[in-house]
Amino acid sequence: MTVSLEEIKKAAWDARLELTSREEEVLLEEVTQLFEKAATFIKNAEGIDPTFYPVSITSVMREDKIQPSLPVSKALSNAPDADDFCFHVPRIIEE
Amino acid sequence: MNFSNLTIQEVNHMYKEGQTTLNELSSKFFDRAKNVQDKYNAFITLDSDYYNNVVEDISEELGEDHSLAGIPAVLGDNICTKNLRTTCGSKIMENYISPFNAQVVDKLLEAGVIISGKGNIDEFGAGDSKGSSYYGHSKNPWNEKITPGNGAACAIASGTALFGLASDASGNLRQSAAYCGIAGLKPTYGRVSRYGLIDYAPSLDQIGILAKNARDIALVLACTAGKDSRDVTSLDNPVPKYINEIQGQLEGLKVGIVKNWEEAGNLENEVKKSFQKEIETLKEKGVKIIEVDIPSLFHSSTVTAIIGAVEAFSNLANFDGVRFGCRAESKHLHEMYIKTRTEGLGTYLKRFLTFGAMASSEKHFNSLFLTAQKMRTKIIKELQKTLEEVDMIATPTVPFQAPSLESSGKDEGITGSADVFTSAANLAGLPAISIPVNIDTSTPTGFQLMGRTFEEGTLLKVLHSLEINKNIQWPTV
Repeated sequence: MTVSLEEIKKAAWDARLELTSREEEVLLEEVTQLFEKAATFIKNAEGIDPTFYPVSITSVMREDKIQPSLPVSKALSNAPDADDFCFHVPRIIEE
Repeated sequence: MNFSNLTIQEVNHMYKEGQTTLNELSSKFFDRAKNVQDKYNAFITLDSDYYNNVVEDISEELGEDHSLAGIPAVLGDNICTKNLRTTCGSKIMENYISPFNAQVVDKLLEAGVIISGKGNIDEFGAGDSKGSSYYGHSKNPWNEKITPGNGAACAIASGTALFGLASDASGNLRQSAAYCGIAGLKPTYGRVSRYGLIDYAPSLDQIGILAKNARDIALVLACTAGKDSRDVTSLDNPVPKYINEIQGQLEGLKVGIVKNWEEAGNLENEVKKSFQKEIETLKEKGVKIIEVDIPSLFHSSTVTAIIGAVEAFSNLANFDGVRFGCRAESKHLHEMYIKTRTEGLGTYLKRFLTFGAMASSEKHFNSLFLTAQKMRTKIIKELQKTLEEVDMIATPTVPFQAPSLESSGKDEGITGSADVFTSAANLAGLPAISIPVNIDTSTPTGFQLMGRTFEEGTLLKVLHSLEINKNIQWPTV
């Protein structure tokens, strides 16, 4: 496994972030080291099923019954920009 | 009143005997918290109005046995509190006030606990307790030049709170406990509801307890444990009376020592000696020490870093300036996302999230992320097999003593060097405790025990047995 500076830039874009050139260099070094460590166990993992949670989650669905929910005003109370019903965001299409 | 040495049991006794009142004690603790804040930067938020309202609302009878009423506590600042801001140690959440309490907060308030304030944390709880908070480093009350890990541990060691709750995704809570000379329990995954915890890695993060002794942890665990319908990962196992489980002899217990533990990276000689000393003490108490082979254990921190980064990339994607938190000035939506996150998040978290994006990309998904999840299975199986042979597994908590503040935060690696021994418990969802050692020096360390699922009581029993006869001189403020 190898990684390039271009890949770091692309991944930062995917994460909606801008890294400084110093941050990119540090991360490149860190990722290279981590890949080296990961290379020591890749073969050990062959033929094993992955585990995504330490407990089994059977269902996230509850009974379809109306329950009290967060009032709209409270849900919007932390928004940087909102009116009585909606979040406001800047224009979506670039000029 | 000597605040530094107080425990929950002692405060309950004082209430019962009329040696103090709720108003007197709460007021003295808050004054002390303000002093500690000036000196050690333990808190992100200390709000006298919130504090006074909580004290006014306490209707529980004080001083009853097993009671938490009138007991001051500190919360890590990624645990949501209504009417008290929750910043997650991040600029992006600087003014966030949750519309609801975390389930654990509701439980503590119902029990009459006084929430003193919100403790400093690494940004979103990510990292290995080196203090990557937007609100600055906290200082260790034992030695101001070293990190205490999180602010909650600092607040407890400096006598401004008698216990604390904080998150533990790769060992952060236990590492902080070790650095501050207190005890830290990460319960079994699912034992305590995570509803209202702003976690960065949902499959790893668990709310744990920090306190000075086993009895205090037992009381808090009994209060906070149990099924919560709002958290699908919480489990419906009965909650025992932990306070009864801490009593008794250790004779007959079997403790495993991991083969080659001395070869762990960055292991310091002082830590090694302290660990061996605790093992000798256990032997004297009739515990059988057995060498166990867990070959994949030393891959845990790398595996945890990969899984944690990918989960964080997904879980923290909604911190984008739309629904909450700060927002950067921008001409259009996409620019707003990028500028808000770039200005609102710290350098360590930005690198960590970028790595998460990379590890979940098409190119690396199978070779990195899926491989890490397969290794997780392997680590879990090795631990389960070992715990059929022994009752618990012992390691140092952290291979080194608390790092200096000077070195903290300087290009902190995305694989936490402090996580070598702690992260396996997070991967497997097992309970683990850090027991304080070397508390009579200016740089305490920790002795970690990892146990079987839902056997927190046995871990607390060992802590209780080891703390007897330790006459600790806590730091004074």
